[in-house]
Amino acid sequence: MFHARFRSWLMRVRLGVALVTCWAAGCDRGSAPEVGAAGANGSIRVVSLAPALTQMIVDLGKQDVLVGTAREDLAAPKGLPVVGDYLNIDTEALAVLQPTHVVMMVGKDGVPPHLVRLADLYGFALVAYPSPLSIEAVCGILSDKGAPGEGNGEGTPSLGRVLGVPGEARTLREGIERRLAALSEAVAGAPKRSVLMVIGTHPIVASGPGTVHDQLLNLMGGRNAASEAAVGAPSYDQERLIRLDPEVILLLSPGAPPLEAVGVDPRLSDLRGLPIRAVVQERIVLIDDPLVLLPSSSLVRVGVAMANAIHPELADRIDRAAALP
Amino acid sequence: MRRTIVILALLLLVLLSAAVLRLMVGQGWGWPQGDKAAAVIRVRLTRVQLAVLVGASLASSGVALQALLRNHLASPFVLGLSSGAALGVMGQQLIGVYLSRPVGEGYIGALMGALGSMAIVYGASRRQKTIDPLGLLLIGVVMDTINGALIMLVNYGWGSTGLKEDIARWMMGYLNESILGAALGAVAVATCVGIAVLLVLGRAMDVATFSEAEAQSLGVNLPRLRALLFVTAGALAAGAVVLAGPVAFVGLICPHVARLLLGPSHRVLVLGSAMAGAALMLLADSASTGLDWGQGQLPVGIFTAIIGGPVFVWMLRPQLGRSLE
Repeated sequence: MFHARFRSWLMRVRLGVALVTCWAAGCDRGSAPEVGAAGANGSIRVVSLAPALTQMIVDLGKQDVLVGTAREDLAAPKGLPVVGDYLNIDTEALAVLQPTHVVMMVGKDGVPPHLVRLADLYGFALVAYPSPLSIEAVCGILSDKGAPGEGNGEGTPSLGRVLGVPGEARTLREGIERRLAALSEAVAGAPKRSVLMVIGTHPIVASGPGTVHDQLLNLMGGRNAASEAAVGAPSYDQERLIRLDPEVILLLSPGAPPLEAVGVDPRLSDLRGLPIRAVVQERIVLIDDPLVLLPSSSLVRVGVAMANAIHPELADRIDRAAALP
Repeated sequence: MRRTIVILALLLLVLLSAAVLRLMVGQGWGWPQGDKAAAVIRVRLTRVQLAVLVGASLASSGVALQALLRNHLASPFVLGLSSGAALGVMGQQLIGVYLSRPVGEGYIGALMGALGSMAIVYGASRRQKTIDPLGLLLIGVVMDTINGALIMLVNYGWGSTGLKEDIARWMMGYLNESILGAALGAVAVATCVGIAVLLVLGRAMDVATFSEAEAQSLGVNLPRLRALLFVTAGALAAGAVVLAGPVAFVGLICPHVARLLLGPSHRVLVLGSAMAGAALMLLADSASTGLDWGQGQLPVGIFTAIIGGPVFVWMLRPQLGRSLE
C-alpha cells in the first residue's frame, strides 16, 4: 500500500519536473532575438506584406530598410526573407526579422486580429492602408496630400512619413501626377475607344467600374467596355462579348509570355472567331508589367502601356509625356 | 411498358422545350436580330450542344456508378475525377509557366487528369481480377483528398502566376463554348458510345443489383461488368469535365429523378437520366445566361443545384417514409 502511494507520488513529482523543464525550455528566450530592440536606436526595419507598397518603398530609394516581404512579391529585391502573407503569417520568421514596422494593404474586413496581437506581442507598428480604388488614393498612400505632416486624410501616416522621407515621397507623388496629367493631355484630342481590360481568361474576366484601372483607362483616352457592370470583376461569355464589341482588348497579366494570334494562343481561345472589332482588327495587346494588377507607383508605366495600346498613332506624344521628370 | 414510353416521350418533350428556351435566352429574350445575329445564334447552338452532352454524360455516368457501387449517393465525382481534372488543368498551366508559353487548350489537362485519377483508382481497387465496390469508393474518396491537397500545394507555391483565379472559376463549372469543333465532336462520339454501352449492359446491371451469388448464378460475369461500368462511367464523366469543368449535382440527382419516374430497370433509367440531365443543364444554362444583375456570366454549376434540388425534393416527398414501413 505504502509502496503504491510512494510510486504514485514519485510519478507526480517526475511529471511536475518534466512539465517545469518543458515550460522553462519553451520560455527560454536567451537565444531568441530581442524583438523591437532594433527600433530603439532610431533605425527602421520594414516588413512589407503588399507588393504595391514594396514597389513604392523601392521607388522611394528606401529598399535598404526592407527586411522582409510577403510571398509572391514580384516587386521585392531578390534575396529578401519571406514571412508568408497577411492571412498566414510565419510568426517565427517575422520575430527573427525584428521589424519596427509592418506595412500592408487591407480590404473591407480591416486588419486581421492575429496581426494586431502580433504587433502588441513583438512591439512593431502596424501600418495598414485601405486597398486603393482611385489614383488619388494610391498617391495618398505614397505621400501626404498637403504639406508634409498633414496626413493623407485616412488617419494612417503616408508611407513617405513612415519611412522618414516625406519630401522624397512628395516629389515622387508629384512626378506621378504630372506625368499622368501629361499623358492624359497627349491623348486628349483622340477619340475615346471602347476597351475591355481582361484580367482572367477562362472565362473572360474584365476589370469593371470603380477600379484604379477604370480611372487610369479613362485618363489614357479609353472607355471601359465593362463600365455597365455592377461588380469590379465581371465575367463574360461569348454572347456578352459580341454585345460589348470592344475596339481594343488589353490583357493585363503580370510577367506573361508574349501573345500569339487569336486562333493559336490558348489564352485567347474564348475570343476565337468572334465578330468583335478587337478580334477582327487584331487589336489585342498584352500588358505584362509585374505590377499591372496592383495599383502602385508603377501607375505611369502601366498608363504608358495602356495609352500606346489604345492610341498607337500617338506614340511620339505619349513617349514625350512619359519622359517628363 | 406503355407508361414508360409515355414518360420517356414527356422527358423528350421537356428536353426539346429546354433547348428551345435556351436558344431564345441570351442578352435579352427572343431570337437574335441585327447584323451579328448569325454569330449569336452560332454561340447559342454551341451552348445547346455543350449542355446536352454534359448533362447526358454526367447523368448516365451517375446511373452506372450507382449500379457499380450499389450506393445511391454515388456520383461521377466521388472517384476523384473532378479533382484529378482540376489538377491536370493546373499541371498544364504550370508547365506553361515554366516554359514561358501557354501549352495547348485547357481541356487536354482536364482529360489527362481525370483519366489519370481514374486509372489510379481502378488499379488500386482491383484485387484478384475484380473491383471491390467498397474499396473503389474508399480509394476514390482518398484520391479526391490527395488531389485536393496537391491543388492546394500548387496554389500555395505558384499562386502568383495567376493559376488560382482561373482554377477557382473553372471549378464552379462553366460551359467551354470556345472548345474546338474537333474536340466537341470527339466528346459527342464518346458520349454516344458510352450511353450505347450502358444500354447494352442494362440487363446485366439489373441482375447485378441482386446479391453477388444470385447475380453470378444468373450468368452475369460481375468482374467484367464492374470493369466495363467503371471505364464507361469514367470516360463519360471525363468528357463532361472537358466540356464544362466539374458541374456538381447532375450526376447525383438525375438518376434519382429518372428512377422515381421510370422505376429501377437500368435500360430505361439510362435513357431517362440522360434526357433529364440534358434538360437540367439546358435550364441551368438558360438561367446563368438570362439572369444578369451586372455581374456578367454566372457559373452554370450554381444553377444545376438551385434548379434540380427543389425539383428532386418535391418528387421525393411522396416516397418518404416507405422505407420505414
